[in-house]
Amino acid sequence: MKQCEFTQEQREHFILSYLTGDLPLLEKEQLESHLSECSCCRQGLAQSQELLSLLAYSSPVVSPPDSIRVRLLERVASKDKKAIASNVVKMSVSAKRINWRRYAWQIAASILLAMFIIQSYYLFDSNAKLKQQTKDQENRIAKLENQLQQKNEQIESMVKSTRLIVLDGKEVMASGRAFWNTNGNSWMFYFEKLPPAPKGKTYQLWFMTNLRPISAGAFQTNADGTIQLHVKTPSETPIVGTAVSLEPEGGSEKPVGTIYLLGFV
Amino acid sequence: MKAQPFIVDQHRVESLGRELVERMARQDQAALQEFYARYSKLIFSFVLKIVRSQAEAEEVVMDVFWQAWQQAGLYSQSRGSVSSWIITIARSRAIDRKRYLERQNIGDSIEISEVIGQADNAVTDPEADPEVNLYLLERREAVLGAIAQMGDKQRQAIELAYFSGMSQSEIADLLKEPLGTVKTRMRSALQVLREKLERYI
Repeated sequence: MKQCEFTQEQREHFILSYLTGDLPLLEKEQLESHLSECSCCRQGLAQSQELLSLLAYSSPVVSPPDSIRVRLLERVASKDKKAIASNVVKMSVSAKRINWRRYAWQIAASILLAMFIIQSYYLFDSNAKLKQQTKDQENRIAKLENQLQQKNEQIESMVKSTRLIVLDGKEVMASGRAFWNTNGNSWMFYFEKLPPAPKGKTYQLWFMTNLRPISAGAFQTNADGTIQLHVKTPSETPIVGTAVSLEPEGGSEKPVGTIYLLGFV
Repeated sequence: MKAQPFIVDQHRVESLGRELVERMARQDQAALQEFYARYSKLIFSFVLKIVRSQAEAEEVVMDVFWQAWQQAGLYSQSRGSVSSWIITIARSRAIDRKRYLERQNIGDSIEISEVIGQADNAVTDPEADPEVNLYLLERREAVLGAIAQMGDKQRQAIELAYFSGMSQSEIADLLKEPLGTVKTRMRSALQVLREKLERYI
């Protein structure tokens, strides 16, 4: 069993983002992969889902009209061929209670006719419906299979062309991850626990080449010390690393302040 | 402080729910009728709160119980309680319907004040199963009590996420607040729920 890498706070953050649909595709898949290995996070997710579902009880209580129940049961019954068959049998049994000696032929003929009409109607109707349903479902399956194949190809392409670079905190407990899409020539950065930049200062993101550092722009963090940045790969290559430093407001041409995060390709 | 004992035995109710789902998986229609009797009031009230239209809520509730009937065999206790299972189906269906109606630009056809106006009658409905009424009432009071412990902004964030199906980023945009602030409020609200309602899960 893999030991969980998340603190309680990180776990809650990821689970809430997962449940509210805030995680980007790649992070969502990473979390799902983690969940399959980590019973602690699985339990946390299940508990959070249970807790959130309790909110349903806060709704003002209104009784549903009985028509829903009636329609539901009709829908269930109409799908049950046996129920119709047994109804026909019941009809013939109850017919026996009438003065059958006198009306035997008429009753038998009526029952047979009724059975024939009901079965014919039922078979004709259900056959047409089933044919249409089958056709609809086949179309739907073909469409979904096509979508699935496209998504799989996209995911495969993304996984093959994406590199993960971990940035370590040099001065503080900050951490960062960068996903480099080598095909799309773009970078997605996720930073955490960066302290708020002091007044008059700003964080600045750098790409490092063999020759010189290249600024990717200045930024401020969210109140909780996190930030997500999406930047394009600079034209000057090769990129050997990436860093975050604290610079004077407006940014610098080259890093002069403290390096907070550093990671190498 | 010691927690008050439950009025209705929560474990017994949950265990009954599981038995009904197992019977539904074997196509037992009587089980479906009982299951509907136990959960329809909760699900209808919940769906109505999301879609805010009596006619739409009726259609969604039909679909929810039809889905439960067809997928009863897929239910697994390891993935959560029966009530959470049916609530999750209802939430997903209701939010899908709400989004569809919003895309079609169809406005609310029932005012929420009308819904609240009908509420008291429904809780004390004399024809309903007394145990079902009590179970619903007891949980409702506990949840409303927990929500009352939240700050207004925490409550607003978690309700927008749960009843409107909004992501945290969408809530931040709507409230014109930083995303980090919304995330912190959501986490605090969840902590309040955990602290006050853990014994109900």
